[in-house]
Order: sequence, then C-alpha cells, then structure tokens
Amino acid sequence: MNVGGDIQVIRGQSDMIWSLTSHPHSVRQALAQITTYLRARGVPEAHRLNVELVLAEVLNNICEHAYRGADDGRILTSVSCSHDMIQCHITDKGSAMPGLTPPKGRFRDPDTCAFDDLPEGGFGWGLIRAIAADVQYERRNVENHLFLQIASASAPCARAVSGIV
Amino acid sequence: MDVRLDIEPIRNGLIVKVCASRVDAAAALAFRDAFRQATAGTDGQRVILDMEDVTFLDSSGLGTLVAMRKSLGQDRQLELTTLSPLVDKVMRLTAMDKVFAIHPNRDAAIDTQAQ
Repeated sequence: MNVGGDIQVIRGQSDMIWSLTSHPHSVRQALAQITTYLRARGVPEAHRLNVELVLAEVLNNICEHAYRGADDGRILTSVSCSHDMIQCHITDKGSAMPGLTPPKGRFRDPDTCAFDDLPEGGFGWGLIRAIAADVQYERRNVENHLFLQIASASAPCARAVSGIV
Repeated sequence: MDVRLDIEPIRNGLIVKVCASRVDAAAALAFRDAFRQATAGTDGQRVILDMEDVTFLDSSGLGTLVAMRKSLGQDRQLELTTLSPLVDKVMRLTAMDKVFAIHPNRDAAIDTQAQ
C-alpha cells in the first residue's frame, strides 16, 4: 500500500501538470497543491473551491472505477488559467467509461425515496456537471482523457504571480 | 486517517464537533467509525453535528453523512450546524439538505426544541 506521497509537478508551456497515483491520500495532496497554485494566480476562493470539488470527484472516480481501487495507477492532471476559465485535462490508463460516455449524474429526490434507500453515494457526476461549464471525454487507445472548463469569474490570471507551487 | 470528534453533552442529547477541515474520500471510513462510537447507546437523544471546522466536503463525505443519518434511525434527525459555504452548496446541489435538520449555528441548534 503506498502512503500517498508519490506526486510530481511538471511545469508545462501554459499549464502545470500534477502526476499522482490513484490513492486517496495522493488525491488529497494534489488537490492541496492545485489550490495553492490557483490562489497564487489570483483565483477567488469560491472558484478555487469549485475547481477543488470537481477535481476531487473526477480523481476519486478514477481511483474507484477506472483503476478499481488499485492504488498504483498513474493520473496526470493538467491545470491552466485563461482570463475567465480554468481548463483541466485529466488522463489515466484505467478502464474506459461505460458506453464511452460520462454519466449524466442525476440526483434522486430524497422526498420520493424510502428512508432505507437514501443514497450513500453516486453524487459525483451530478456535482461535476452542476459546476463545470463544459465536460468532454475521449478514449484514446488505452487512455481516458477528460477535459473540463470551470469558470474562474473575474480571476486576473493574466496577472499571474511567478514562482508558484 | 484519523478524524477526531469532540463530544459535548447537552440537556437532551449531544453535540459532536468534527475536528477536521476535510470530510472527503480519504477521511470517510474513519469519520463513520468515529461517529458510530460517539453515538453508541444514545437512542432517543438529539445528535447535533457541529461542522464549523469543515471547509471541504466531497461526494464520499456526503455519502458518509447520509449513512450516519440512517444509522440514527427514522425516529430522530441528524442535526447539522454551522455549514461552510462549500458544504452548504454541496448539500443544496444534491438536494441532501432535505435529509438533515440544518441550523445556522450552535446556539440556534441548542435553542431549537427536540424534533
């Protein structure tokens, strides 16, 4: 069992790329670093939390479903900022999404649900679709590629601070 | 990953304070175990979960809260207090705010009559 310390950060041309393993502790650590990066780029807190939540759902799904709980799968997470959007590109080599389509992620209405049937999971894709402005998925050979756009509102990404992360 | 819960007895139940900033996939199992221990033998009493320190909740954490709510049984509520903006948003987007009794803060929770 890895302890989740295996994270590398690569500075791309216009983005930062986190390479992490499919372990909840690696996910948590990567999210903390991405949040630090977005703070340094001037992204307001509410929007940083949106990115953190969407990426948490995506990365946890990859750990649980694409890699089926194996904690040594590799995940690449690229994050870049334009003036009003944060672009994320997440890649893994796990199983393809069923039907090669991301789930619709509909929420069940608890009012029409028996007490014992209240859902204890399955909220992830509903949250991703509620928050992300755009979601695209492609299966390329053995790789899953997920492209997300999340509003950064008035984030002054153009005035980026250097020396981040 | 440990999740510490501080227990404070009140007249007709207990306040369980979550001493963690994140209730996420990494914390979910430990959180559920700690809650089960904290609420063992509290049948009929109010259980108020003070979420003041929790700034981040993901779907795993939310699923854990729903499981905890179900563990108390249908005859009483799991009451939540002091939700951060993100926790409140996750609750509302998923409609799970209907599953819990939610109070704005600890005093309001204590002042509320047992439900």
